[in-house]
Amino acid sequence: MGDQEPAVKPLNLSDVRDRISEVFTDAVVRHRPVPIARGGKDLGVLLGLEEIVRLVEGISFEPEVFKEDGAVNVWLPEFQVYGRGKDLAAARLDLLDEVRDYVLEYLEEIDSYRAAPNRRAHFPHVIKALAADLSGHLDSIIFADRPTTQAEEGLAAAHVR
Amino acid sequence: MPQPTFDDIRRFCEIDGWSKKESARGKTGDHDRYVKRLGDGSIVRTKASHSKDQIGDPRLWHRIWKEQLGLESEEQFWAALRTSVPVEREAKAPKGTPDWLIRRLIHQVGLTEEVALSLSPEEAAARWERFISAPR
Repeated sequence: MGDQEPAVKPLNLSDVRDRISEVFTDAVVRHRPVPIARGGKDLGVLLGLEEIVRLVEGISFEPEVFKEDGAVNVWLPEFQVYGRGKDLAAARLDLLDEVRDYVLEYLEEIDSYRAAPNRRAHFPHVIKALAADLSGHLDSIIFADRPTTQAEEGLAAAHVR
Repeated sequence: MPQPTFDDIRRFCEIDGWSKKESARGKTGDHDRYVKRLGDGSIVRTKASHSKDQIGDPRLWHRIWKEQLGLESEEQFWAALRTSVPVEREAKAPKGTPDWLIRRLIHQVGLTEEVALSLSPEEAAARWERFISAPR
């Protein structure tokens, strides 16, 4: 099994260097994943952002809203972080800030985060948040169709824990 | 038990040997940020606002002590503050599977509660990764 040739042969990294623009166009504009190999051992696949978004479209976030006197908190269980503000809109903004920080921290320290028993399962959500942030849709991906303001939230109270 | 202030959380992190760090994007902001690596490789992280506020919602506080501070009980938090002694947890068994992952395994993957709860954190993570990467 292992010695059978793959249907799509990876490009050699040195070939990719010589025609990076064409390879990039293939992956991003023509939506064709491009396998790339280095030294017969390291194997990667270049994907367009649109394809990554499609791959993680089944993953969702389920923020929880907690109100207290003078403050609103939004807890994001998938990353174990929360945003806090004087109202729901401010708490949501604070949470988005936390998510961006978390994604960057996760990717900068990926060896330890992917190995950590309490962080390992976050990886798909990290990719989802990264792709959403790059596409300018982080807010709508995290909060889906949840209300933005407390007035809207009041109308949708049944959906907010 | 009382609800903690952010000063309490800050003091807990200092007693429990957490490292203070900047946000990944280098912002100081209006929080202090702390991280700690546990003996089993888990990474716990939290933040403490510079405000004098109390964490008023018990549900949020429950998530903070359990999931951010990695404690087994709220009492461990208050005991550390009372005694100024770090929490004893380095030699303990790995932390359990997070609640959110158990919920996903039950409601999205379709495991029974009994099966989901019987998985180790590593098995639960692997089962979830298989589910979300399977073609639909």
